[in-house]
Amino acid sequence: MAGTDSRFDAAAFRTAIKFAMKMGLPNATPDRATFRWSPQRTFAIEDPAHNPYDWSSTPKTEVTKVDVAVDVAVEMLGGAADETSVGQINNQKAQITILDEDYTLVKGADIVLLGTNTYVVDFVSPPLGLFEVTVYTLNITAVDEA
Amino acid sequence: MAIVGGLRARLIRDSLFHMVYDALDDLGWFDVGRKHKTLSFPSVPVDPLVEVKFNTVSIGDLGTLAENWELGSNMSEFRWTIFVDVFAESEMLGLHLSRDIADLMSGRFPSIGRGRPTLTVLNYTQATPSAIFTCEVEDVVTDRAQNFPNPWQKNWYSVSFDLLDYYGDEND
Repeated sequence: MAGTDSRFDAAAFRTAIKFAMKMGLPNATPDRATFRWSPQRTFAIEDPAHNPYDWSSTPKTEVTKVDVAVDVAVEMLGGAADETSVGQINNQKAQITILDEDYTLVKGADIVLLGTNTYVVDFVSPPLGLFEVTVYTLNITAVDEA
Repeated sequence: MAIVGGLRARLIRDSLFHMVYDALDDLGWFDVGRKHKTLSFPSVPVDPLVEVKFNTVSIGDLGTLAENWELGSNMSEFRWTIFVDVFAESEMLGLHLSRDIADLMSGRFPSIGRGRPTLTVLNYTQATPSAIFTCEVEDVVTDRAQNFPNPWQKNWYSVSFDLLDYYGDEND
């Protein structure tokens, strides 16, 4: 944490930033950034990645979480060229900025839905401090583009 | 009845993962107190375009080449190219680890039960897996990235080899 300063009003800052985030939200609720956790399943007989050999088998354990939508700022970065073994693929990339109070609600989510497109979370950048407020940036890449 | 199709391929991949993991464990790579960062060995390939933690070992596979082996039957040789990537914290660790992997695939470590260039495939669909067939290992090649766009690719070593599997159909 970057410390505190009496001249910095953290609550007012958070309110203003969230106001700006809300201003940039799409009107249709399904189009807003939604965070999703892939279901965690284990099977009595499974491979090292916890996939069953028999795809019709019933999970021994299953952990699912409901989707969460919070106030965020989305910056589309365009299609950065990724060199792969089958050639150059231009996957759409984006950065999502989240305030600390909301980040705790979505921490660990591995999928982000933006509109009808699905993105995966590549990594979380080192958090930025603004006195007692911490700002997180998620770097995401599209896995489909509807 | 022989196992064929996708299940056969998955059993080969999983047997390879377990064999390499156990062999590296026997060589002490997962021991505590070593003077390098802990090894990570996920069972699925990592995406080299996304930040990879140092000392990660990852198995991936490429295509399979089939060659008819016997006139008048379905018996064929399936040559499956596999690669093991090592994203190391240093050049020397990457060299050491990748050459250990290359030699254990080549069967040059009889002291840990890797005295032949083969892979015993186990039937992991059973509660107690048993050996069901053997693949041969050929053309073990080591390589390293020369032009690395990302820092975690600086000591990116790779070991590739072919797994040779022979089978006809499920009635074999």
